[in-house]
This record gives sequence, C-alpha cells and structure tokens, in this order.
Amino acid sequence: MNMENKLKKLFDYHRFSKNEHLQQIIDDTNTRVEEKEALILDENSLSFAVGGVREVEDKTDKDFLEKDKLGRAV
Amino acid sequence: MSERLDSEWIYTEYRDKVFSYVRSKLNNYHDAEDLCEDIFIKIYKNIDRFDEEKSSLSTWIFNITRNSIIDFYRTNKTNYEIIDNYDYIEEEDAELDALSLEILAKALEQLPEILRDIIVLHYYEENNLKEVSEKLNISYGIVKLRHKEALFKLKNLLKDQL
Repeated sequence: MNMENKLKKLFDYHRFSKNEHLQQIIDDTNTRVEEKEALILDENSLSFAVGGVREVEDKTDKDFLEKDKLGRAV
Repeated sequence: MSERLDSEWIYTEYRDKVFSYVRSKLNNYHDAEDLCEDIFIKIYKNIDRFDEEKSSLSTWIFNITRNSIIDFYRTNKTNYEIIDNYDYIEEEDAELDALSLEILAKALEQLPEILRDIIVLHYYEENNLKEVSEKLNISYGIVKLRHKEALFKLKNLLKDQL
C-alpha cells in the first residue's frame, strides 16, 4: 500500500477510534491554522484601517488645499 | 461467543463511535441513524465470525461500518455523490489498531511542524493541496513540494513499523 493510502486508512480509523496522542497533534495543527487565519484577518483589518486613514488624510489634504486655494481666492 | 461479546455490551461500547463515524460520512441525520441500526444488526449476525487472533474487535467493527457505508453509497448513488476517500479500500496491508495510530502519532511528531500540518490538513481534515496552501498562507507550489517531502520522510519513519 502506498504511503498516501496508508495515511488515508489510518486517519480514517482514527475518526472511528480516537487516539489521544494523534488527536493532540491534529488539535495543535488546527490551533496553528486558526492563529494564522486570525493574524491574516488582523493584518487585513489593519491595512484596511490604514487605507481608510490614508483616504481621510488625502481628503483632508485636498479639502485643505481647496480651502487654502479658496481662502486665497476669497 | 465470549461473555464480553454480548450484543448489549457491544451496542453500549460502540454505538457512539459507529454513529459519529457514519454521521461524518453521511449528510442526512436520519439516513445515518438507519444505517447505524443496520450496522449493528450485521454485527450481531456475524459476531461468530469475529476472530480476535486476526484483528481487534474495534477494527472488525470499523471494517463492517466502513463497508456498510460503501454499500449504502452504491445503492443510493442517485441521492449521494460517490465518496472518493475510500480508494484505499481494496488494499489490506496497513494494520489498523490502537498501536498503529500511536506509531503514526510518534512519526508525525518527528516531522518539522510545517510538514506535519500539511499531512494533517490534507489527510485528516480532507483539504486538497490548494486549500492547504490557503490555510497555511504559503504558495501552492511550495505545498506540493513539501507534501512530497513529508510523504518521503514518513515512509522512512514508518518503515518496518506499519
């Protein structure tokens, strides 16, 4: 039996008859994945927030320049 | 039949295991319940054929459960997609018992974390390699390479043990 099928068979048997040691390894992997996904989510929110702030800053700069321009014009 | 193998004992001991395994393979709760009852009828009918020198009771019941699910899919193929993760079914040389799972756990522990994660996500969580690459936030190409590396290392670690 090739290694892939051997792993499928063993993990399938684990679904039926849980081995605590193996389950701990599976739980650890899932925890790492969840942490990684949370980190990516945080980074995305941060870049969204930074993007948002930049947008507001750009708008403020534009308003300021326009006001300045208007101010001078007025 | 030994005293330990009376039908009530088997049902109490294995009902939850059989049901949760069947439920993981069948979407419909009622189908899973019906199939679970059929499996126990098969177990009671065939208990005299169980040979503890050939396999543990757990492995024997697991094989009946798994084969019953395959039969269910074959007879209900209009309602269900054929499951594709039973392609190991015809091959019999991997031992299935508590010890084999412990050996696998020890071998996985010896792998670098990233290889272990790829194996768990692909073979236990049943993600394809593209999904694994997304979950681990690494490129698909790297996951394919590291998957092969993990199989190679596991083959060496499990050599002569499984």
